[in-house]
Amino acid sequence: MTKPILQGVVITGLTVAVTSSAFAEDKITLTDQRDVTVELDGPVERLVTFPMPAAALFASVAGSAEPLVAMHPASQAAIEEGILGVIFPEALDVETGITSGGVFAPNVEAVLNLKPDLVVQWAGRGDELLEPMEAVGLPVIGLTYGTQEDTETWIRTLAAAIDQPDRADLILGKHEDAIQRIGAQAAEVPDDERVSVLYFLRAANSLEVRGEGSYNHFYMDMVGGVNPAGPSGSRTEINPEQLLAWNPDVILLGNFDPAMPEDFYNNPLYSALNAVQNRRVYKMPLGGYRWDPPSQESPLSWMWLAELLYGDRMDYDLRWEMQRFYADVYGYELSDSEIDAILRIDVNGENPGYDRFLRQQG
Amino acid sequence: MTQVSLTGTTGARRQTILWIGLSAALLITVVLALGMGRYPIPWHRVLAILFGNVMPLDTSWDLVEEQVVEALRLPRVLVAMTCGAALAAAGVALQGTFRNPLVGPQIIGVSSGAGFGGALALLVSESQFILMLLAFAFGLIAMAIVLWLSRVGGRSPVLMLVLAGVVTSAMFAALTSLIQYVADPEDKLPAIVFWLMGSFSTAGYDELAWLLPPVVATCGLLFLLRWRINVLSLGDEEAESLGVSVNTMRLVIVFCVAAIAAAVVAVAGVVGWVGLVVPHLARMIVGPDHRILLPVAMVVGGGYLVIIDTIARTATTAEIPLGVLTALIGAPVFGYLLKSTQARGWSRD
Repeated sequence: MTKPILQGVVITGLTVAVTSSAFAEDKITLTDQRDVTVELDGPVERLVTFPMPAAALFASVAGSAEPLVAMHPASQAAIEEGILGVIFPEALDVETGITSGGVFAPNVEAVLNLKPDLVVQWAGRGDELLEPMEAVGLPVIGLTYGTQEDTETWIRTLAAAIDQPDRADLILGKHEDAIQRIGAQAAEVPDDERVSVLYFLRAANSLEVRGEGSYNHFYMDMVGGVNPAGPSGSRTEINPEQLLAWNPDVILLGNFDPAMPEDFYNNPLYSALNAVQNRRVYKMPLGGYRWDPPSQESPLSWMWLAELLYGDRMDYDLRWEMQRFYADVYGYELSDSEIDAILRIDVNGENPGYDRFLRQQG
Repeated sequence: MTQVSLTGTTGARRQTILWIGLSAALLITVVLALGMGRYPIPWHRVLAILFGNVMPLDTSWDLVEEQVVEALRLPRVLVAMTCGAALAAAGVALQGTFRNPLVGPQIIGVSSGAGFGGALALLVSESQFILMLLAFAFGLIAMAIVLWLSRVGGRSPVLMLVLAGVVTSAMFAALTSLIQYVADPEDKLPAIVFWLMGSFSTAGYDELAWLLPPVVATCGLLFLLRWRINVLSLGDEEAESLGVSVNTMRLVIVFCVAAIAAAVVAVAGVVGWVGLVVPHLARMIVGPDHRILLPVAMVVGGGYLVIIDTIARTATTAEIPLGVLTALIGAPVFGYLLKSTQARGWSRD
């Protein structure tokens, strides 16, 4: 009895979708994270992005970097550094001279000259980043960053801007699946088996860790890890003595800094740390974007960490998941050596727990 | 005036008492600082670890505790003490030479130059060694510019030195801003900003080994010249009439101060206020005679920076940037000193 009803719903749904997209050929309405509404004449074809992760995120939502006419220089550096430069080589030739007088302040004339039909800028970092562009009639959306909800909003908004909401469903479906599956498996981990894990945003010239309120804390907690820096706030500069006092089981090194596991292994001060004695210091992977901050590839990062901390309690085949993700999202076929490079097998490969990420022999 | 006379025959005994008091205070400060930290170690064990080096003791502590005390706290306390003493000596020498209680090592532009060198190193390299090298090198370059700018007819008048310092400082501050502007906001910029605020959080024996040669050499030289600073503080004409080559002396002292400031910035980032506040504290204790003021200021400065750094590393889980504390504590202390003494310590002028 339920079947006809379901069909009816599907058919009505399709009709609605078709009419709305036919209508959307004319107008697209976007609401940004400041609650400002921007109306576009049609899908975005000339996009300018200021926030660092926005360019890479947009390319993955659009499956192409073609509509990008300009991005922040740091965005381009990040794309060049990771594999997105190979997948979307057109992103490397995009204009970057759009800032002036401050890190994100726009050079309004340069932006105008590019005739963008949408500009993406930071919200909540001062009106002077947005207002000068709005004053000359540029369509600007302001976005904030740092939580999983923010990432979801970005992906939805950018997909709406090119009128391809199905792309957002595809990517966010992967996010939601991973959160549910990992969350369920993490809940099974008994308290006495929980691993304490500390993430370093910086560890070369200073020691900067992340606690509650940070994205890194969110996923360390989600996969069942215990973050000793949790209570001390979202970002904290600590000294080596504090690290010894916390004595984490696992140390993660981020991609904003050149620190490597060897630096910890070779430093006599850290020889008493559990993570050093068990050689469980890992450099975080770097794929289409750094895996430590939020990005489209976050689900892969969570799977990586869950597998790393709890091994057989989790049931992901990370290499296969990566290939599937890259095929679905970027339309790109990842090679074995590219997977090795992303996972930093060169620096992590010898460490315990990493054997599960190595290529299958034979 | 509550200051005790420390010269003459009756002063000799008072001086001995003063030195015993100051040394004891410094020693207690250092031992207390070594006993405090984020890694919990009972006091008696800290003392046992320390005494274990000089006498055979039952080693009942574990290796981590010994490492925390001897490889983390001890070098950091020693670096802080050395920097504090050196900055205080630099401040005393400058204030005496320029006959102006409001100058500190930062005024002659060297900190700014060294700060730029450090920021540049953080931008282009990952190496701690290059960081220290460039900071020190640019500190000396800034000093060379100051000395060149200030030379008028073969002499460097006080006013010209100060103005040249202001000019050089402004120039390097602008260059530092430029570096912050071009630095990658995600990875380089936060590292540069934190470093510029000053911190001993990475200080170890390497830094101490870097710091000691220039500091010992320059502070030693200032110590030998301390009576000449007395003469300079009388004024140029009086000094010339007493047979002191004012110009040469001033250049030598400025060079020493520059080397100290550059060495400190290279090791710890920009640590402000110490060279300004501590000389005033010391002058309140012993008066304006540089023969005694200089060494006393060094002891006070060493203890002062050890205390500030102990707060920086123990008060919260997070390291508090040193520059924030030295200014937050230093500025009100300085204001209080100015208000309460009304510059009475400058009775010689």
